[in-house]
Amino acid sequence: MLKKFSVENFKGFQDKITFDIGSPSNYNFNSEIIENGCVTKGIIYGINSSGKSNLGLAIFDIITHLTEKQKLLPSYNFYLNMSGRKSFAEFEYTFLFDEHEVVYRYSKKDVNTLKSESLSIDGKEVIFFDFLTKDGFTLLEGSDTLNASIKNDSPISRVKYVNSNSILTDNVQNQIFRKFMDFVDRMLLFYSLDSRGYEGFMNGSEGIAEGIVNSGKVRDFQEFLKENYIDYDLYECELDGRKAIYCHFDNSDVDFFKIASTGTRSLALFYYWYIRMKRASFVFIDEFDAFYHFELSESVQRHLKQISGVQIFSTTHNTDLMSNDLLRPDSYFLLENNSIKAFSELTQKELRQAHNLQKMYKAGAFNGR
Amino acid sequence: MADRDYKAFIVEGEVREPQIIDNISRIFFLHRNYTVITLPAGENIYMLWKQLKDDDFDTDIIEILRESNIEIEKQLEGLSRNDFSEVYLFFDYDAHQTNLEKMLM
Repeated sequence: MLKKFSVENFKGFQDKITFDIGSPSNYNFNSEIIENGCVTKGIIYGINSSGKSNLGLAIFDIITHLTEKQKLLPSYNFYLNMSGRKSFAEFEYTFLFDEHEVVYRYSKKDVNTLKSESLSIDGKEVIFFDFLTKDGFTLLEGSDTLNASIKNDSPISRVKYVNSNSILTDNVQNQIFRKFMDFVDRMLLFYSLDSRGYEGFMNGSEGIAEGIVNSGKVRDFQEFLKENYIDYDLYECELDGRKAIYCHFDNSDVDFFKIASTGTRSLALFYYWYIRMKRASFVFIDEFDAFYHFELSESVQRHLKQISGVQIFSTTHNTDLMSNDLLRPDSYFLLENNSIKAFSELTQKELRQAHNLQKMYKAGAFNGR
Repeated sequence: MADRDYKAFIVEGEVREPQIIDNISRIFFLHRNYTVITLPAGENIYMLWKQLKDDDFDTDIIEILRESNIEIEKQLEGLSRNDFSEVYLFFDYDAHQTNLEKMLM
């Protein structure tokens, strides 16, 4: 699980911003969203330009140099904060795997250029590298043969290098290291509109229809739409060698994606990822409900809530979702003025399930301490 | 979705004239979902109002009722705060006159 993330001097974040999802409160309702002491479901609010999308890109910067998964490299073009005093951005991730804490700190000048890396497991630094002085080491059992080759001009992450090139012994520390690498490998960020793509988790640009058909889920997809009051008679077919989803009407049959509304196509995109999400580790859905009516937004969030073992965070503008009947004050976050805090931290009042979060928010109850 | 539209009638103590609630519902709210919530003995509308006031009116009246009493919690099972579009409070005027003044100020 990701427990805490912080970044400094990246894009709009001039000062260090920390996203803490490892200190939940003691609420006795909707407790299923807290697993191993970490918040696993959350919704992030913030006015336009507050940095919601940049927060997603910041959290996912780790996948750009540690994995071979899909990357949205052009999104990282304007990398450093334009008013910052340093020539590099600093990132720090704290993970928790089976009660063991992993802290990964690194700095980068741009998305492709690492400046330093440090990996610690249970408080002990096990991998370190300074890309300027070429000084570094790896202490993981089974990787000591790499201590010579690690000191060269290669720009590749040494953490990635150790993971790919060593035969680690099967001890607890190495198991935790593997869990860390596996977690990062299964992180997923996607946007609710197809044109904006995704990063992490897998590779390639499979079409949504193709993906749903290949997963054998056309029937299930039709049911999913029907549950949300969208009624279509769907079937799969193949056209010009590509799988497609067609709708049957009395007078003719037509490609589903040609006649579906923007909201419905967006929901289909969500469904495409939803059926894969159970295998992800950490999911960030940017503007998950653009084009959805309220009941649909709520229905989608309820579906997400049922996926246990996966951390899923969505950003939205829809304040109707601020309810203790859905989540809790420690899982609704407000991003503003370069800081992100849960509602529980934004008020002195002791919140209970009975509180009306949306009403309080609109009345300014979460505006300050 | 919209077919949930519940109305809540909150009354103090055992309704001495259950016919009144029944008649009101039949005349004004025919074919609608409604539920009668009886505040337990010893509790009254003023106490409910006081609890809401202590929470700066940030809480939901249906949820306050739910958290206050096991019987009411059972009665409200399956219903959420958003299911109620209207809430009516019926109180006995003569017994709590001074409290009524406080409430209405």
